[in-house]
Amino acid sequence: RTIAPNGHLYTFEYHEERAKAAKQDFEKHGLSDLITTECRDVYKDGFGITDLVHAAAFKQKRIGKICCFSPCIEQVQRACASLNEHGFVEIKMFECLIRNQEVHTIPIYTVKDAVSKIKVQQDKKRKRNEEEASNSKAVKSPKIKQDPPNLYVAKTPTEAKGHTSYLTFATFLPVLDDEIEIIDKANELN
Amino acid sequence: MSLEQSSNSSFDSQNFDEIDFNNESFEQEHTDTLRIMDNQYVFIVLPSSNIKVVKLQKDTTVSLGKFGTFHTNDIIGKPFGHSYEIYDRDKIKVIRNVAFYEVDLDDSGANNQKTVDDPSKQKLSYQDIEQLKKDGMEGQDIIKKVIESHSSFDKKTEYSKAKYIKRKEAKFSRVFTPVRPTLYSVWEYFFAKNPSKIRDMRIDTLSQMLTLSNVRAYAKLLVVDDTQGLLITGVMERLGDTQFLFQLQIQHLGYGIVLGVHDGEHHNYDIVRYMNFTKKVNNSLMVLSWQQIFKEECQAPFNYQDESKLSQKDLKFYLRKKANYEKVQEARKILWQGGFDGLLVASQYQPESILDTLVPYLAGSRPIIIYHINREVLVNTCVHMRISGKFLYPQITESWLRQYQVLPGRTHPSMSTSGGGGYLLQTIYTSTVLRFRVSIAGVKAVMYTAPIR
Repeated sequence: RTIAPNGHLYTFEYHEERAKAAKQDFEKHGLSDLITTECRDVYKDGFGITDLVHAAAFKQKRIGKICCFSPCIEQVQRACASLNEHGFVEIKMFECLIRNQEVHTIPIYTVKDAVSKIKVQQDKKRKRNEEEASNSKAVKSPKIKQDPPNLYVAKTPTEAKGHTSYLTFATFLPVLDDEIEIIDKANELN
Repeated sequence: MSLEQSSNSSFDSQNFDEIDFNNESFEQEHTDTLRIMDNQYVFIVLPSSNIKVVKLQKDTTVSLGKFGTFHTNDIIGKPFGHSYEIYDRDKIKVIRNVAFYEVDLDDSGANNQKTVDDPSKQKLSYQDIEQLKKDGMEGQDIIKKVIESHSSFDKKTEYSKAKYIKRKEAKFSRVFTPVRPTLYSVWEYFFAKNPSKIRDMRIDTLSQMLTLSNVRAYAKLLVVDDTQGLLITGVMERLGDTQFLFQLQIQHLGYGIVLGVHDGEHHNYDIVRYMNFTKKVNNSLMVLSWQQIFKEECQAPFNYQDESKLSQKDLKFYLRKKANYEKVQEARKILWQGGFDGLLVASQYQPESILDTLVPYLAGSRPIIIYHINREVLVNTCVHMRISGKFLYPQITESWLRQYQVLPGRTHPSMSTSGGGGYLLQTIYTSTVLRFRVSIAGVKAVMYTAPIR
């Protein structure tokens, strides 16, 4: 969605069934022009593309970004160490979660209401005792109408998602092929 | 409490409506995302992690305060990604940026049991260091000297040494990195500089808004933006080009349209210009004030004059006024046609009133995302949406974000993190009103057709 209409996505899945299913899904949704699906194990066989890819490979002429999605902290540590080794910079790691807020309308009672409630309970008990004693139904006393104001509130749910995974971002830098040129220029200016 | 005035503090008193983005001084047909170009905004990241924004003009110098100065010609045309070290006052050389240095495992037995916090340990005074800088000593050498003059540097643990060096580098090294403006880098700059101007919107919340509202090429979006244009910038970046022509003779909804409704008489979409958008992308943006969106307002027709009878100076002025008037009429026509693909709101105004005004222009089954820094405002809107029946499953969410420091042996979450990034209310607008009748057999939905304007 973000890269349409001029961009292109290359995706690699090493599980054959999943790769096939993904490819069919993309065709069904009319996205096969934008997406190239390949069944490939990139750890073993590499990407097979030269310098078209912005977001994954390592010896590029242009600046680009990489994002690693890892559930475990050990993977993140290894990834960061490796990224640093290969000259990636601005290595940042985040975790991100969505917190839902449930909205409710609740009546809000005061202390006065609390006292009335107790009195009502006591009344009921007394009436029941009187009824048992006299064996006749007493007249029901009118209920005290309680009409408390309503409050709109938001509440976080009791259980929420605790972890999805860690996101590690890094920037890879273009090759320094014009370094020599700049030093020469500086020497000329001297 | 008075309404906040829209502030144009970064611009002079020029009439903002007349600075349209197609002004010759910074219109571009195409942009190069690889190289630093003349006449473009660039972020300069300093060793202290502060960011300075500069509009690069060739043949000038840029001063970075205590970090030095450099000539713009030395970096124009170079690819993004490299860092530069200033030496000899204003010459620069390229250096390779490094994320972090490997620290050897600490088996020296050093610990902080006997450390005493004593400023006299550092023999170099502030004045000494300034003198070294004046003498033209390079950043790395200054840091070496500072370390040498620390009487108990060796007693520190390896990690402590690394931390100390990093702090000194942030202060004394004379390296800067030019960074290309993208939505992330632009957000980073404004959030650090003045978060209240962007209504404390954090980048993950902004990303959520763009994803949930399904911003994509070929879409037609309605945006209410009181965040200096940050939200509009995000939307424009995702939409890409358009081929919308003036006069509405031929209307290609090329890659999309963003209609921004702004506070005040003139828009303050300050942030948009920092992105160095091409003319085509800028064309996808149309703006209207709250007053202009109502049919009964702003009805005065334009005083068309015979152009051949005007003087040079008057003609220029007249043409500009005419263009602005026609742009506004264009935008109004687009708005009243309706059928927008989504509504995004990040505004100080009450969301219920915004919905009442703008929702009739939305197509059915389209997302509405409202951002607010205060949850209570959205809670009230959520209840309003439930009662009205025209909104499907309104939901309030908050995005929780935590950054970690990942260093060998020292991995932990950052010591200080963002307290919050705002709340989002998301829903889908249905153009028919849904009413549910509960019966013994279950819930039966009865639909009433609401009048669609």
